[in-house]
Order: sequence, then C-alpha cells, then structure tokens
Amino acid sequence: MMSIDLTSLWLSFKLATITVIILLIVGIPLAKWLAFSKHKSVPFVTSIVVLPLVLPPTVLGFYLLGLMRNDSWLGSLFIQLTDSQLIFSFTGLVIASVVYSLPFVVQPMVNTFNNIGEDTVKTAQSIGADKRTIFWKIILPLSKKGIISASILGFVHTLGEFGVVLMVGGNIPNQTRVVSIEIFNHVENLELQQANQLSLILLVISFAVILWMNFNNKNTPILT
Amino acid sequence: MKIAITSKRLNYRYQIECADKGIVGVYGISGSGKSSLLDAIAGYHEDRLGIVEYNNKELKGIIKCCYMSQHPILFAHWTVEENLQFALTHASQNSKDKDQLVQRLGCEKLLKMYPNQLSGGEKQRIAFVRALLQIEENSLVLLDEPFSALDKKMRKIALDLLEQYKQSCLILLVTHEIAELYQVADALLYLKNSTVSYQNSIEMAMASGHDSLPVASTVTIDGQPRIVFAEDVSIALQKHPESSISYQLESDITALQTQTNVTLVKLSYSNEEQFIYARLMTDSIKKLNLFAGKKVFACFKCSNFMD
Repeated sequence: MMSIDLTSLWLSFKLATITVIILLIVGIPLAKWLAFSKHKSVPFVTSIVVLPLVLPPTVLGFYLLGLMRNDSWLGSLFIQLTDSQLIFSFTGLVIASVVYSLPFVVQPMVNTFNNIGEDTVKTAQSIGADKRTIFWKIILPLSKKGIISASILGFVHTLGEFGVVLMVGGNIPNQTRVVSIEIFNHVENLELQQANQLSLILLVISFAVILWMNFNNKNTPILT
Repeated sequence: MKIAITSKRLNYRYQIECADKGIVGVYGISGSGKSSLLDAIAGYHEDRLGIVEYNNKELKGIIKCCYMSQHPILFAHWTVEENLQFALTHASQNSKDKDQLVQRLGCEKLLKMYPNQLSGGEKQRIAFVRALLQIEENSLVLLDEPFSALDKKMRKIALDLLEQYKQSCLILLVTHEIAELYQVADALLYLKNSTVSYQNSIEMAMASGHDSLPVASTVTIDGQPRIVFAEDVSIALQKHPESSISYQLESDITALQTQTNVTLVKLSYSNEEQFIYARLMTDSIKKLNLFAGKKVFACFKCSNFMD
C-alpha cells in the first residue's frame, strides 16, 4: 500500500479548528442576540446568517473573492498591515470558512437558546440575577450540549468545504490546499487510490462524529 | 400597593388598591386572569401600560420579587441545593434559614437531586422554599397556585409559614382553595374576565356572596377559629342530642336574604358577638317558618376543618 500524504488533511484540521474557535467567539453572542432580542432587525440578521446555507458555494466564494481582492478595502488594509495578500492565503481561507460555516454553528445555538426559554431567564431575573450572571451561570451551562454539537457540526462542515476554498484559497500546497482540494487533484490526475484513501478517512471521521452526536443528543438528532 | 394596568394584547385591565403588607388572596375561575395578573406585576409583560406602585415606589420592568409561578422553573443544570444557594446569594437570609425551611417542608432528601428527578409536588416544595428564602423586609411575594400538588398536611405547614412572613411583606396568593384564602388572607381580589370584579377585606368578602364566592364565616370552636361555609350549615328548631352532627349552636336569626329559591340566613350566637351563615332552600324557610329574631339551632359537621 502506498503511503498517503497527510499534509492536506492536517491543513484542513488546522483550518477547521481555528474556524470553530472564531465561530464560538462570534457565534455565541450572535446566537444569544438572535434568540433573545426583540429588535426589529432580528429576521434580517437571521436571513444573512442563514444565507450561506442556501447560496451555491461558488456564489459565496465569488463575493468573498471580491471582498478580499488586493484592491478591495479589506484586501488592501490587510496588505498594509501584514505586507502579504489576503487572497489565496490561509488567513483568507479562515475568513471564508467562518462565513461559510456560520449558519451551521449559529443556527443550532439559536435553537438551543430558544429551548432554554424566556421563562428560565425571567425566573433568574426575578431572583435578582444580573444579565452577566444569567448568561454565564445559567444560559451557557444549560446550552453546553447544544454548543458542543454546533461546534462539531461547524468543524465537520469546514473539513468538507470545497467550492468556497477553491474560489478564495486556490490550490497552494501547505497553505490553502486542504483535503477536499487534494482529493479533487488526485482524481484529476487519475490517482484514484490516493483519492480513495483520503475520501475514506473523511467519510469515517464525518460519520463517526455525526453518529456520536446523535447518540448524545437523542432528543434532537442532527439534521432532522 | 396600587395597580392600574392594561394590556391590549392580553386583554386585561386591573385596578387594585391594597395594603403594603399582609396576604391578599387572588381568586377566580380558570381563565379569569389570575396568572396574568401576577405575571404583569412581576413585569413579564413588555406591553403592559399603566402603573404598579409598591411602598410608594413605581415598579418598572422585570422586578426582583419572590415569584413562584404555576409551573415553577428550577435550573436544570443544578442540584436542588445549588438552586436554593443561587437564590440565597441574591437574598439577605442565610443558610441556617435555608436548612430550617428545608426541614420544615421535608425536603432534606431532595437536596442532592436534580430537578428532572423530582415529582410535581417535590418541585413545588423546593420552589416554595426558594421563594420564601428570597423574602426580605418589604418584599413582594407572588405565589401562583403554590400548593396545588401538595397534600393536606404539607399545605397546612406551608400556610402556617406564610402567616409567619406576612408581617414583613406583601403576599399575593392565587389558589382554587377558597377555604384556605378565607383562613389566611387579609383581603381578597376576585377576578373575572381579566378584571377585578370584587376587592375587599376578607371578612367582607366572606359575607358578600359576590358572584361565585361562597359565603362563610369564622367560628371559634374549642378556642380555634374555623371557617364554616353557609352551604354546610342547616337550621333546626330543636337540639338533636341523638345525632351525628357535632355542632348545634343556639343562635338568633338576625337577617334573611332571599334570592329566588335560595335564602341566606344570618345567625348570631354567643351573645350576638359572632355570626354564622346558613344557605337554605327558600321552601325550608317557609316550612320552618323562619323570621328575624327567631331562636334556632345552627347545625354543622366539622369534617372539612383543616388541621
């Protein structure tokens, strides 16, 4: 058996890990706001968050490409700050992944927060707890399962992304050539055995994770 | 306390005035707006218009109060003990008070359990302990059917506890057990169609017969004040020693109030100092030839008394 080059796989893991960490930092406050706020803009913001779920990855990638181009405000700012370009870089890939996986992390979190219910929050308020205490001591611990599920879903989803990565990341070994691109390259070069091995690894990981989640979350199986 | 609030969405209009201390019973048929009144006072309705004033202070938004809702929420990720501790950290009572209340309501064995391991009655007892733990001087205590899943003995203990606290705070108590309200409350609010249909001191309310409020009086028997409902009292012209009826009080008829086929008879006994009511069929009034000033015997059993 031929040895497999796992570089792309590690790159994918690195990307997915960083993406999930950022999504947790951004996603938890965002989901909390979407779940509990009565502001008029909630449906509008929800629609934006969910958009990557329905848009073709190429369309999303195309717009992200426009945002990160060297002559765009974000792209040029990045060049000024770091002396390197955002497009076709690992950082650019992270930004794209965060946007692409946002609904997969935020939506389950919103559901979890909604399940906690307003009455729980009101009860804590009547007891005299302030907003910060309610969030850290009640909402967050009660949502632990949901947040873990959301993170795993975001992780697996980032591992599997292809279209967006191809558009903004390109195909640079060690930098942006993630496992899904690597599999595509192998197939294109008719290296079917390597493609098969990498695909199998992804399949097994993804299935194991979803299976684990569904065992742990019997009441709210993922994707039902 | 002064309340003058409305909500278009929930279609209520409450106008209430009562003392800032004591127990106010809230009574009414299901759907009359009892729970929504407590929710409104607690500040749970964002669209509430008007004023809620307690101790001359206007209450706005969700207020800190001892609110036990009809389906009380205990925080699922904490044990019973941790739930009580959380309330304690936001109150002025100490863990000694907690231990005493826990013991009084027989909750010692529940402390290490999680809320999803508790029965309905156990949950209610814990939520009641939590509400009592939050009580401070001038607290507002809102209890929505707090004892519906408790047995008679526990209800008695819980009611005794409420009487202990009523000197220092205002307790609004919603219950379907009118006898309990007559026993512990100082005033009564009778709700109908999400408005206050009647409000008065408990003595006046007991005698009023307003709408479906049963008429009753407090009778001192063996040194204990007891609630006796007019429905449970009959009138006899003679004493019947050979009878299972335990109480046959010699009394004078002081007034008769006839409403078609039912007549309410007011009787005075024990040197006219105490009153008792009897609700009789108007036919019986005619049969016994009852009139104001006549000497009769008010007869009732004592099986319904709470001990």
